[in-house]
Amino acid sequence: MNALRRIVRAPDLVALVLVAGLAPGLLARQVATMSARAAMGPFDVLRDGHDLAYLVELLAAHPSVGLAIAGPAAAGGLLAALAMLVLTGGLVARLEGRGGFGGAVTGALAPVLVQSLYHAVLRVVFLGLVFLAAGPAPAWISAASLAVAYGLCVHAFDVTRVRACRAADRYHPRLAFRAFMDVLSRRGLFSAGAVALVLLGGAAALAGAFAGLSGDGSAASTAAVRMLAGTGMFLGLWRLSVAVEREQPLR
Amino acid sequence: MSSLRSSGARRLPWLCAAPVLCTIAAPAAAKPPPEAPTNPLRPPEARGVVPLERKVASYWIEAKLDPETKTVLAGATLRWKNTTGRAVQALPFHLYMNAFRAEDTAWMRSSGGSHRGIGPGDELDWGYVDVRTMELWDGEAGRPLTYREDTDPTLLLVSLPSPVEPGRTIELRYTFETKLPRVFARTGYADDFFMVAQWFPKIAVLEEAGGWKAHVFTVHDEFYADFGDYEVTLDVPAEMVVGHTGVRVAESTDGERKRLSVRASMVHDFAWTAYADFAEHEGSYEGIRIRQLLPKDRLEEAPAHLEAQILALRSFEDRYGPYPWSTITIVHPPPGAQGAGGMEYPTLYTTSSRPQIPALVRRFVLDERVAGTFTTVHEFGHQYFQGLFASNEHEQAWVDEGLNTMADLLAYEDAYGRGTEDDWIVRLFGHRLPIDAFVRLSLGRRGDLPVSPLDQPASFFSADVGDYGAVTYSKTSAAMLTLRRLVGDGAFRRAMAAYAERARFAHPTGDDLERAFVDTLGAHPPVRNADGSEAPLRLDLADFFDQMRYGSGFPDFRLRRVENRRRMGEAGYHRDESGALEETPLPDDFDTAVFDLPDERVEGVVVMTRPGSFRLPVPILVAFADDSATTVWWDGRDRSKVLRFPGKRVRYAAIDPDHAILLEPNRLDNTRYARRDDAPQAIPAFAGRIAEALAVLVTVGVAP
Repeated sequence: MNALRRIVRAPDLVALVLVAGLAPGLLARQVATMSARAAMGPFDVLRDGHDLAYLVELLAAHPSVGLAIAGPAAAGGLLAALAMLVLTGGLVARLEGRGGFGGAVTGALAPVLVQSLYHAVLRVVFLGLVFLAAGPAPAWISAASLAVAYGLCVHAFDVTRVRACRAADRYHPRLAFRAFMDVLSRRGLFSAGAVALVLLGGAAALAGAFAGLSGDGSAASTAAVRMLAGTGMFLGLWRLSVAVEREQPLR
Repeated sequence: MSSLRSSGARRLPWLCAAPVLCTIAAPAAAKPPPEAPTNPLRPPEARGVVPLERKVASYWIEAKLDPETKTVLAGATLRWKNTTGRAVQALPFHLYMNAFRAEDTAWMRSSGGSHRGIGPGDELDWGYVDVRTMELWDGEAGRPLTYREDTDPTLLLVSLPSPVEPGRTIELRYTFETKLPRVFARTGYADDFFMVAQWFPKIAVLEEAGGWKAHVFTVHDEFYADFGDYEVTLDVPAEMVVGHTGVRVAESTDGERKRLSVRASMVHDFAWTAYADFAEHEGSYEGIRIRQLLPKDRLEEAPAHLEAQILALRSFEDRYGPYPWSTITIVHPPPGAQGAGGMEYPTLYTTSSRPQIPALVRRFVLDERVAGTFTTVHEFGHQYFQGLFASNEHEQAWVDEGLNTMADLLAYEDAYGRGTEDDWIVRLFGHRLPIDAFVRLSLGRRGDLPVSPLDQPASFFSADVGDYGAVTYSKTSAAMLTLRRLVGDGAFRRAMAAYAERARFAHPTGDDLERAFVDTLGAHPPVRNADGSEAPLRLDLADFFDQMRYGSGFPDFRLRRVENRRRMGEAGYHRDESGALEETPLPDDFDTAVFDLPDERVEGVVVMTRPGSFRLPVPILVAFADDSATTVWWDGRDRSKVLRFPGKRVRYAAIDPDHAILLEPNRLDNTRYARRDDAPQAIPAFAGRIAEALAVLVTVGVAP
């Protein structure tokens, strides 16, 4: 629970990740709504259970609306993700109880980005091997194996990022490799907890998307989407905090 | 049927005169399969009217499949009756299989070498049918006949030594070899799967008024033939599971081969399939045997197709009369033979696979009733709109394909309701695409709508224009379902029932359909509101059918203006009783914004236009600020219509609020609010929700 305690001590971080999690959605919503409104011109439709048909008709007549729906959603999300990556140094510093958010960000930026590339290669190789090994198994075993493997990868990435903030050899590929091997060889409570958080975060993302796509536009369904998005982002921060705790346990 | 039994249920000894057929084995001990019907027709009390006197062309065929060479060696006896008042000296035959004989056949040229997007690819293997002998059988002896292929090899002309007088019957005996193509267009083989369709020389149709109806076979063409009985003996490898038109009356095995004796009555074609890896699934409905042949690894699909088959049977029997035959066979082509899928033959059809979607995904994410099961409903529908009615598919493809598609959608509506939670063709994240919407969207989108007229021979549709399907299937069904909404379901059902009664075994035309409607409903039936009550105008049926059949346009309505104005008063100069000009002053609220005027000082105005060329009556719902509403009908004949409502403030107007005009492809300009701020903007909001959901998925899903 020390990882969670680190977060509680840094409410500003919680606010930051919530903003990063919700802002892309709100922005994408506005862009898509305005684009569809412009395409509809002065017209509207009756609420007669044909919404999906009307939307299909609108997209067929105005393909740009489709771009306005998918483009900002994807770009905003990826930008938010990239921002969280760029801010790694500051996040780790705050979780470690250190100050100097801005300095920590700039100090860790280059090694974090470099180590991210090394990690990406390792991740592809590892997931490929798991895929090949689990492929012949029944579908649900195969899917579960891949999910756990993905969770371990994410935790390994978190550990890599934390080490990249401080290690001496922070540009060397062995940092990413060792972090990966440490996570795989010492699958203790930290790894289990991190994997659980990864899976919960993924579930929150899927649930949020499902609530949005299947919702009726009521205030309750909109709130559900945003709560799930916020929960997912909070779980992500907690997961990073687990990596920090793993590297430097609180006393 | 009795004559067939006495003369046809035996081998044809003359066949052994043809060397290619001498290897056909004599039957061993014969026994019918258990519980399978042996009469191809249902019992008289269940099958409805079956006019046995309308048999014109009956066939006895012995066929032997060689799976190695992909050939069928066969001999046939055709008994043909001249039912017209004219004598004929020559007989045209269809050799449909020759469509696949070379690159320069009319079919290959018109198709560009593919069908429904499927081509033979690198495994092209030609197919053909080669007539080896042709004799006129007169009593005990046969006289060789001269015959020649037409310019296109899908037609053959047989010359007779003397004319066939009206009312006379002749018997021809012929042998032929059919080489099956690698299947990509309905018929042929794929590895060791065989779909043997359009495989034998089939005599054309002689019509009283139109003469011989023998068309060159091109890509959009289908088939046209007379009714008759078929006695067919199939000699196949013993391990083959066989499906066929009609019922099996005997089966025997002799070493590595087996022989099946098959009988069909009052049909106009015979098709069969053979495949060693078929699994069988049995079902029934009101005594009709429903037999499915599926690849063994797709057996779990069978219940869904059976359900679709039964919902179709229930609807079609209710609307168009009894299904006359005792069996229906559903064939699921195996992987690699998809080109054989989605095609109808008498009492047998091929369907397509349902997508392999996990149950949880179907429940919560994506479910559909388009692939697989709709194919089943559609191909079964052809048992009526082609098998039973037997219209000329070459000259008027819409009479079977279009009306059948309409009937399929009605079968869905009968099963799932309209406007109910179960009224959907596709369901995506709980959002339904209702049947009505599916009909409308299948027409195409604005700017890319089909342009060819409906009522023209199939060969007139250019494959390059590519609107045969949208016109023949979608436009017909949308137009007919629009007609249903306009005249009301009860009236439409009566008219279609009258058509079906007349069309049964009768080769109907588009004129017959139109006549059935006019005879049943009158030339100008009343238009109905959505609740079934009578609207204050009538529909000109002749005009409707003319536009539908010969026009290329669509209905398209648009709300050009919905607004409120200050109601005009009497301000200004008027002459009084003495002839002098007298001024009436402006009212105090002359400069008041319309929004702030009391309702009685306002006039609501609704302006509609008709950009589309198709003229139709259409209802307009006008809702007022005082929460009242009215429905006004516009006859749709002029290009525009203006509605004025003095003393009423219009809130919004909606053209066709109950989706009566399914033939209107563009509905996004059918509803308009007087003040944009009042509009719920449901679709932009929907688009916004989707965007936010996708953003959440990306942001939370990939956040490091």
